[in-house]
Amino acid sequence: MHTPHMNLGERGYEREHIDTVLAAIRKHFPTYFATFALTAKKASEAFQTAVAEWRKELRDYEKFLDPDSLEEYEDDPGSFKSGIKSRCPIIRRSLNSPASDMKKYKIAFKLATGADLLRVSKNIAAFGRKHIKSFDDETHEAMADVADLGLGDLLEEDYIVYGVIGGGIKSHLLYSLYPNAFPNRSRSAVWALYFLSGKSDFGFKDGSES
Amino acid sequence: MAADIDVTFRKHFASVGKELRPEQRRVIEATLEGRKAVGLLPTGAGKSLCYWIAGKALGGTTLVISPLTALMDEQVGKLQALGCSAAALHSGIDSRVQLDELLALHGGATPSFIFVSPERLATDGFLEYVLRAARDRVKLVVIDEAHCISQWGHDFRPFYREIPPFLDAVFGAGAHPHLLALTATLGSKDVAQLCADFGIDPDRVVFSDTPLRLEIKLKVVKVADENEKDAKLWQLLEEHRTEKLLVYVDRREGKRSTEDLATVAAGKGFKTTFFHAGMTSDQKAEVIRKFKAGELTLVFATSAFGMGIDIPDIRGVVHYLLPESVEQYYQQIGRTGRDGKPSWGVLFYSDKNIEVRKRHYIKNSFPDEEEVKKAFKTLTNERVGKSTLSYFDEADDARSAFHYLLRGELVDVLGKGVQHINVFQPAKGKAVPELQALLDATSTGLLITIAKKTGRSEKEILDLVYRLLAEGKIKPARAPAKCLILKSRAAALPDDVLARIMADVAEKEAYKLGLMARFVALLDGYEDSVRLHQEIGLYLGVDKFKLGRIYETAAGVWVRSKSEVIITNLLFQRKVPFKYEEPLRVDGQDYSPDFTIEWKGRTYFWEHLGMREKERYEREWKEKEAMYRKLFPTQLITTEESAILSREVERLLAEHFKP
Repeated sequence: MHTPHMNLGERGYEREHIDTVLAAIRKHFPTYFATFALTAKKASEAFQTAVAEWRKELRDYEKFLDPDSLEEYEDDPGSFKSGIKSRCPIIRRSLNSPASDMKKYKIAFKLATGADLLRVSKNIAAFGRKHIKSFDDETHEAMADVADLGLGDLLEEDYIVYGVIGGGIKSHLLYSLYPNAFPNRSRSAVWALYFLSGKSDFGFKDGSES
Repeated sequence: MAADIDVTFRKHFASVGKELRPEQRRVIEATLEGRKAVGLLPTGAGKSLCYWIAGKALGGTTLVISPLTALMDEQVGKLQALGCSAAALHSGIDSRVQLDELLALHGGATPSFIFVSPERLATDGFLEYVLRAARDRVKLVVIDEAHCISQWGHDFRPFYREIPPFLDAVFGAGAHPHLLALTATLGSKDVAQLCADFGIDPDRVVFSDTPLRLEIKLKVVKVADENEKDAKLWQLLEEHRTEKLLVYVDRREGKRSTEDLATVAAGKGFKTTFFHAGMTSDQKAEVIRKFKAGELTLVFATSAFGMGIDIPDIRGVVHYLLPESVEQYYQQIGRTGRDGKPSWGVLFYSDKNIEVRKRHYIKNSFPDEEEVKKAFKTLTNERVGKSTLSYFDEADDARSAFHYLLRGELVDVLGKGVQHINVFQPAKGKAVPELQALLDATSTGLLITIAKKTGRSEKEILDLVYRLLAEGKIKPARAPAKCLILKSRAAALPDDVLARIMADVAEKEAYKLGLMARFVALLDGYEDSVRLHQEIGLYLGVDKFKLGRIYETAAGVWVRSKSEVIITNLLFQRKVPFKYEEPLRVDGQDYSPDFTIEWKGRTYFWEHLGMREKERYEREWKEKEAMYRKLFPTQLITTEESAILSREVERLLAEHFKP
């Protein structure tokens, strides 16, 4: 999955760059939205499907990140690791994927310790709970700076198990519990960003970060 | 005893072959009479038939401990085809099917054969629970491929060492059933260790009369580099295009790997594929099926293609990789010619291969300090106390280091069980308050947390759960993750323990490098196939006296010269019973007549004099002849090297051994 966005350098977070990308998105969005929602009915169906999909796995993620359960796993972190496949849908999908580019993921998972996986999962769960307490839709809409989002801590070591729980999975866990507050930075979401921003590289070198 | 063996053989396994080989019979007798035995028989000598017959003769259930799922499945298939009830318990079999087998066993069923891996024995608490209940019906335990117990060997499987404690736990110390350990290759040091570990009388170790596969024509080719090796490989394969061939290769994927070479071979029109441990059980089984059926005639395989995969008509084995030891080499060439027809083996190697094998493969097969420290962290969470280890989910390094930590007494294994009790639920229509009480204690269903909160031990909880499962009151909602229950004794890895572990690692590494060096010395000294087999025989501890027996006869006896082949075959043809080189002790001195014949109440000694022109041979013959003239004057028959030897033998047979 995704590694932290550290090798984007500072430019990825600069106002000027963000404005340039936003402008491109504003330009292309109507075209893509039109193909996505030809009619109001089609748009409504698409949203309902997305909500239903999200709801399908909500219970699993609530149980997986339940604070009392996570605390019990401190008795046996090894069990947390061996049970993660049955309890966390996105990690299960990653481990079961036959795609050749998931080989590295499987190796990294095998090498990860139960204690690290538990520690990071607890930290992510705690972050989500704290963040949603002070989350407000209007304030969020009015934010003009990346730092205002308050997501900077998620880039720290305490929220990463390298090769196993990175940006993609982390964002998916938080999105699953709090979709109104956290984006789902999945692979398809990154592709969406690419198309919506006009398939431009904005001056970044190929492979600098997928 | 002999009658029992023959009756059992004819009743259940007559379709397998006409009669037992003498060494098979000796192995079975040693097992039935002596309760515990070791059978050292070469590849292709019919080891499986030994335990099939011993198992059926004893009745009840035979528990076969086997290292490979492919091997288990093959044996189960063969036994079922012969009308014997047999089952394997491994991860490739549906967990519900396995559970049904265990429940049936608990309920009184007595399948003739059950196959399990040593890892399964060491980690499956319910299996142990069931076997304990069924212990009176388990009459024989077989340890197949017993060389895996050798910590010095290339196929070392650490959990083989856990078999003796397992047997004690199930049957009680000193109350084990009959036991038979089987293998083709095991050095004398390891045989002694095996006997000590399992309480086997060294007199019950049965060695084959013909431990060497002399019928396999061996060739060793030293090359300058990989390019030369490739050129020679393709030339060799082209020359043997119409034969069924196996090529051993180091790597699974990448350049010059099994997959790469199979792709090239397919491009050259060979019916080919690859085989390695990264494939699923089904994929491997399919390759074996197609190779057996002749749909494939060339397979590029890593050493995962080994131990007991029985494809009788492989004509040639090519070593594109350099094996680590004589034992590994001899075991791998044993894949060829199991149908008894002429077969061959070619090994290619270079000086670079030797360096790579030493530097990369041997050294990297042991954990370094960092890996041991990491394993300690994984297994203990850096605290004193209990944890569980789902052994098969861990990386190879952690698993390898686990055994070192166990031997270093940093962790104890308290038992084997399941990590989550909430994997179990009441069977349909049943209320199970004992289970509910356990599940209500936690939100995660963790065994260790339930123990902590209820004050019951993990063992008590598991015994309760297994009882409920065996009684059919509960069932698993999904296959439970089997685990070892560990107790760590230290929160940090003490320096002195780490130093001891690394010293142990260094000793093993040095030993393996020593084995490699001895193997390379054999290869560098290659002269011809027979001499290489004999050098290997010497190395493996074959009786020096037997090393010269390099010609097979129609009677199945191996003899020293082509002239003796003529004599043996004619004796056999004329149905004159004989023993070859049967020891004869006279006046405190040992002699070895070429042929000892009992005929109508008289004993005859037949000596073939093949090297009378040699001074020492002639001197020794004169001494022997004097003994015969003194003690057996009318019972000696002699022949000498001659162009008309056959005619002479026929004449002597007609003169002395009229029907």
